[in-house]
Amino acid sequence: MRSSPARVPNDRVGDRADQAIGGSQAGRRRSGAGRAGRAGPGGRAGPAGRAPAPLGPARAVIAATAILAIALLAGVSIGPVSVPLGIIADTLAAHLPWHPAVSVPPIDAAIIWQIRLPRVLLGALVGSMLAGGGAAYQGVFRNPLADPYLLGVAAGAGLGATAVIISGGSLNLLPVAAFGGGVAAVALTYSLGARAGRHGEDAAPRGAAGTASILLAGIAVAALLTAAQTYLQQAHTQTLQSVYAWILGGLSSATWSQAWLIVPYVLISGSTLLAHRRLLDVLRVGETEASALGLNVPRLRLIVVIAATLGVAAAVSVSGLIGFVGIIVPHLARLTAGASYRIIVPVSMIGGAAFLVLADIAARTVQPDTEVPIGVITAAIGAPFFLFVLRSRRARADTS
Amino acid sequence: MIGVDDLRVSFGATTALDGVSVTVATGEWVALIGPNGAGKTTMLRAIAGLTHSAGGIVLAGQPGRQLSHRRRARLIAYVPQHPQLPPEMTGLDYVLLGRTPHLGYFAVESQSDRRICLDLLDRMALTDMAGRRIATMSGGEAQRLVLARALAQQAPILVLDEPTSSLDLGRRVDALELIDELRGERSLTVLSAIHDLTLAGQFADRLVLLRHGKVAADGKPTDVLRDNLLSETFGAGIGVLRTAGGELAVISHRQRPASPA
Repeated sequence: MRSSPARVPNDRVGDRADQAIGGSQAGRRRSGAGRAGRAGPGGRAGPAGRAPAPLGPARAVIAATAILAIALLAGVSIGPVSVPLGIIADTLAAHLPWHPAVSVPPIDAAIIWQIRLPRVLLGALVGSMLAGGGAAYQGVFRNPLADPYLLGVAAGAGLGATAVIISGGSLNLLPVAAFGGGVAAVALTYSLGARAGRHGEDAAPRGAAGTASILLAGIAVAALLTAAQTYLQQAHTQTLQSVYAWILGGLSSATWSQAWLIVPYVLISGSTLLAHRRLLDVLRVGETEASALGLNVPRLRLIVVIAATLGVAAAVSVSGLIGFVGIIVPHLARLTAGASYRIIVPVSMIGGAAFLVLADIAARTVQPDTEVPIGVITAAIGAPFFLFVLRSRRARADTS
Repeated sequence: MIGVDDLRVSFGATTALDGVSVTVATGEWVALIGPNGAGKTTMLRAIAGLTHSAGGIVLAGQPGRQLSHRRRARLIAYVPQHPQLPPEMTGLDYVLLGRTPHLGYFAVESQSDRRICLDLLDRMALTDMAGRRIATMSGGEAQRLVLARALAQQAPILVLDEPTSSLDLGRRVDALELIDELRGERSLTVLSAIHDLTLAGQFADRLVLLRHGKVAADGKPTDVLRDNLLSETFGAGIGVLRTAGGELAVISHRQRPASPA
């Protein structure tokens, strides 16, 4: 669970990636345009010059929102005790300030309001942060394999959580320690990587110095912190199970207070990432050209990383390390809604919320008596999907 | 106008530019020529603020070093030799990127930005490309699209690194003619690296010959395109012929005579 497959060094860090016009590339493009359209392998043939019909921004957002609404309703309704939609509506109505006179069976009301609703909403918040963070990282590091744990947030949070659990500290400290560990790990990665980039890559364009170093520093920091965490975990085998349960991640202990705890981070992180989605599109032409177009690339990268890290660390602090959401959902958004980050970022946030709520429904219903760790569900869906994305990526050689 | 005074760039122990001073007047087209590794690209990047450098840089009367990224991008539009072309981006979206220096941090493009970019697409004979993906465009179309993005910056200075390297000879002449027309229409100051010495001599007002990071010659094409100067600089036998129409053609001599067939 811990090591996600996304910690692969950026394969297109340099600005002379495979998309340059020039040399044989231009020749290939020309002959490609000569045939009718680009009938890529995998049946992506379309009318000459047309993209394979993405949904378009408005429709993609509406579709994702509709799926989220259905997921939320299903999440409240489905479980060991299934609750009809009418009772859900009545329960929600009963919490309105001037609500109509409704009577709800107290047990149903308790299941809905105290158990299911906080869990579903927390799952939605966590999912939107993980997927939004993944989309932002993919954009800012121009790497389709980037996930929100790329810079060590998961390893840092894991170490923080493990430290609290083995020291027998109050479990109220758990989210704080996980959040602090995650943020500190990313800060360490960033300062080490940015400094190494300044010294080591004089020849790189001013904007680009650092990207590769930051990613490499992320791998090193994550490995170091994971080693420390593993050592602590093995040295205190009596708490192995609770450490392991935290690392697997889940929403089973969701409460209203946890949901409220992360709402400020979700708002700050989400609105910041959404506000930067046009600039992520500028970055699609590479760091040198984005810089020549007037973009302060290092500053943009720092702001996006801070925003994504706050959101992801907050999510991880209440849910543990849930994998794959942050990499699958942005790719789903890209495949269905188009390659522009103006669409990918919002659709990833909405879609990530829906995806995690649906995965959580599966996690608590697949087996009758116990819950399957949600990370198992997301990975069981995620791994095959990831392979599918890789295949279609190779076929089209593009996610920029 | 571009003014460069004692420009120096080094990468570690390697000196790429060793005190280059060049002035390009407003509306003038100056071509940088020279062998591989002479510092042409480094000089263009330094002027565009994309690499660390020392020395004076003046852009359109303003001290280049004190400009923010955004302010600089309103004065100077830079096109690298191999622009990155996101294959899934449409032509219009790509040209709209050129409006970046004119947009507020959180702003999105207005109707007037779109108007500017659509007009540019028309000017570049790319009207049909507005909604097309870049992946479907030919080399010549992509080249004009990149130029349209640079012009969307509405900067008085255009810096082009080998703008025609990926094109066939006919498209090269087309592209350079287009740049020349646009220079006239918009009073642009153009500084470009051009590998093809014949084309450089035909289109530029002045040639600056770089060698080992220094200016080896600076002057009108007839002054710079000389047999011995070029042969020495490029380390090969190079001849300059004058055509009946008065144009200079630069040819290379084989080191050994061609073997008889």
